[in-house]
Amino acid sequence: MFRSFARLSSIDALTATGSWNSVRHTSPGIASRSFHTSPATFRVQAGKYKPTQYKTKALTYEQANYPHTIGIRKSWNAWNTSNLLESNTRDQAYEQTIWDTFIRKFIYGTWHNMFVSEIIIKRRHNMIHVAGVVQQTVPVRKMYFLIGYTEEFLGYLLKSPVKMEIQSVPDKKDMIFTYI
Amino acid sequence: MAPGFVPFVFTIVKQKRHLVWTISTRTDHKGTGRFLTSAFRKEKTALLRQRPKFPEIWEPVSDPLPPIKIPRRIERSPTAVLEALSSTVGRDPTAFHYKYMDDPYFLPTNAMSKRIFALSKESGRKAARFMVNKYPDLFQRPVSDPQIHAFFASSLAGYQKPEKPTVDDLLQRLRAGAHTAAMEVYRDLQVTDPSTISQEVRQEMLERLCWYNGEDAQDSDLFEESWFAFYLQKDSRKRWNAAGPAQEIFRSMTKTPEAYATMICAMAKYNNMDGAYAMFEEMEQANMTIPAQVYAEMIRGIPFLKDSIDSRWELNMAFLTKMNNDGVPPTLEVFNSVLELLWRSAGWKRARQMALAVLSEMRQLNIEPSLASYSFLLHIFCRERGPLSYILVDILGELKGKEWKMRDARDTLFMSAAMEVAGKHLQDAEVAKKVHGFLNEGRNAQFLTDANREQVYYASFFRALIHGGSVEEFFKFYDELVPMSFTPDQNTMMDIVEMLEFNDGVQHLSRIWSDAVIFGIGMKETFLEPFLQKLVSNSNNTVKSQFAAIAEDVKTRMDKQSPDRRDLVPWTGPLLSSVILLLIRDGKLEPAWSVLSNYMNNQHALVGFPSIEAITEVMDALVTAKDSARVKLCLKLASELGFVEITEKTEDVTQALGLPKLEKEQWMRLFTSVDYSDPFRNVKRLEPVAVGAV
Repeated sequence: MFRSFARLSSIDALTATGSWNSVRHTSPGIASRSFHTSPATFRVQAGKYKPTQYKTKALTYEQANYPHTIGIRKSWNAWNTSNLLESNTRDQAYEQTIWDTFIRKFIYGTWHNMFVSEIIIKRRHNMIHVAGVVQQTVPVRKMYFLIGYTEEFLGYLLKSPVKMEIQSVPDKKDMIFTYI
Repeated sequence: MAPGFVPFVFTIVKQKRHLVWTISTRTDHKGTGRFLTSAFRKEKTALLRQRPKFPEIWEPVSDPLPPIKIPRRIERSPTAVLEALSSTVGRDPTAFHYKYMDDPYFLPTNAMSKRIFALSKESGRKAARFMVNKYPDLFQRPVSDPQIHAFFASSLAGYQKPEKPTVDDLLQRLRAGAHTAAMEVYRDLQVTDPSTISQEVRQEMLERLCWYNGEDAQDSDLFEESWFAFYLQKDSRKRWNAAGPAQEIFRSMTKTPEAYATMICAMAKYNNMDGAYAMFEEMEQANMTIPAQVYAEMIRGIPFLKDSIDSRWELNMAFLTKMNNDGVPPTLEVFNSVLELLWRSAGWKRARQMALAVLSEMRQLNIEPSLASYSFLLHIFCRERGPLSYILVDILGELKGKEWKMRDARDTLFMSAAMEVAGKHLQDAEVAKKVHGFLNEGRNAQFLTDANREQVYYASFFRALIHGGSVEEFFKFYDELVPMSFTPDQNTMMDIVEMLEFNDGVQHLSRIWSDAVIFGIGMKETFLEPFLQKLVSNSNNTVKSQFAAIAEDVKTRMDKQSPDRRDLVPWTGPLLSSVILLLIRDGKLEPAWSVLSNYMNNQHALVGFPSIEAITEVMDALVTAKDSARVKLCLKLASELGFVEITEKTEDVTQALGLPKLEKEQWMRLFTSVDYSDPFRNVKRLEPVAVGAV
């Protein structure tokens, strides 16, 4: 059944081959986007971790729960009002998402190996609250330096006050929920 | 009513055809008379007239209603409701400041951490601003709508020199605090077109430059540094930039009284009193009316001009008479300056009298004394080596219930001064509590303006509580204030320990120990030795297990110290003795023995030695445990240290241990000077006499 949907944008639909697994360009220079449809490849694999043979992979609670349990056993990592009425004039969803990604990458890069949880971003009124769990690798005064730096930097960038709310954990192992 | 009259009962009875009032004098409701005779009717009316009248039912309203006056609408700010709500919630002294992250790892537990964390956070802020300044183009997106100027990168960036400078450029740079950039524009304008710069602009420039002494304004939201800046307290060297931009501006403008006033006040602020006095004389010669603020600053700076008290007062009176002659009414600042002068003229006999005279003059002129006046009064009356004065109590009575605002820059001195008086001068817990109550009223907490004042305030408060109150009261405040509002220092901790010792509160000592460790005071020689000695001397049956726990904790911490620490606490003699004694008294033989054996193994490395008491108690415990090998080691140690009292007991010890004869003799030989194998040991030897002596 899936064979017929294999090629999305190819011009020559008639030259479709009978193979299950791949799609060939009919002529060079034509861009085509396609997806795999075999059972092994056509499945949801986002946010899911592959089990290891001897259960050596450690997962946090968030990682252990599949994405379809968001709203049930997990909660969102980004909270904003961009899906409400009239927010297409102000709190644009795409813009906020892009800046959220920026914030995550910036914090990941500034706090070297310190965050052991996902970074939660909540937009409340004009404030942006960035929350997460940090491991206690570095002396506290250096952490305060990073807090001041991040808050100020992101504030000047995003033009709104940024407050960090971080909790700490002595070791990364304290965040482990299961082994898979 | 006739005596013995029984209150009658009205009953309304519905008769056959009509309602009839009947009056029954019976208290039981029996028999309501059906027919009223005329006499009875007369009686009824008479009685009705005399019945108790309930005004709301019977009496008509005699006065008309007063006219309704609708009050004027009070203009409320947008946050009035929020302010009203917040006024219901007092300060929470147990909460950490919101600049600290709310996690146990991030909370500062001692005074040093509080300072370091706040300053590191601010230094991170400065680093971020440096980055924003360096790459301002990268910070233009996302665009904020509405525009928030505080977050614009350009608000941090320096100002470019404009090709065609105008007065607006000058004012823009000036008002943003970029004074050096403003001066550049000014110099250009002065050369090209000086007439565009009006007198008002020049005056504004002068004021701003004078306030900052010609330097650029620092970002006002980076205030942590100034909060913790103890070193700025007593900076009395001349800092006025005499060749600076302020002087430049002054030279170029017409010399109005405002200009002179600005210059004089600025010079006084930056400790250049000679220059200020010179300007003052210039003003006098030019016959200008000198505003009151100038007099205030001049009086305040008199100590820099004159040395002896009499000449200072003379100059002060000269200023005041001049002010009087010119008809300039004195202000609060003038009076406060006079009081400050009296304070600085320490030890003057007439200081108190003069201070009260100043106060009464203030009252005459209907100027309410501000907190600064009261703080100077306190300093004048409650001097360190002077007689005790309870003026603080009177002052607190005056202050109670009124709303206090900053009316003079020196108002910030009051809270710490008041508490210092209560704590050090009066040493009275009741007065101290009243001062603390005043702090917690309304918004008075704003008068503790920096870390130094807070420290002085709370240290004095604790001092007062230690000397005055009971242990329970003390701990009420201790629980509330420590460690969030105040972290005690070493002296305060020792005072607390002494207080507990004297007031029979030794069961709290273990808590004090754990707090001391958290505050970074515990593991310091100067605290540890006296503390443990106090534990030893106050040990009794109820608390000995607590104290033994403390001793074990000390031991673990001492052992855990890495040897290359800068402030390594060594095992000194008193320390060893105290730890051993505390452990032994609770029967913890093994830990005590490990401390002692540790000493024995490292004797060469350690300074000091355990006391006789310690070794004796250990030995006694070992003897009861019949541990001969260890007892031998103890005796060996005692003999090495020359503790004859212990070695004398060797015989009893061997007896108690039940040693065989040979070993007994060996021990006696080793440890005492008595040779047990010598049969004549009990015979007194004659001392050799010198030949020929008489």
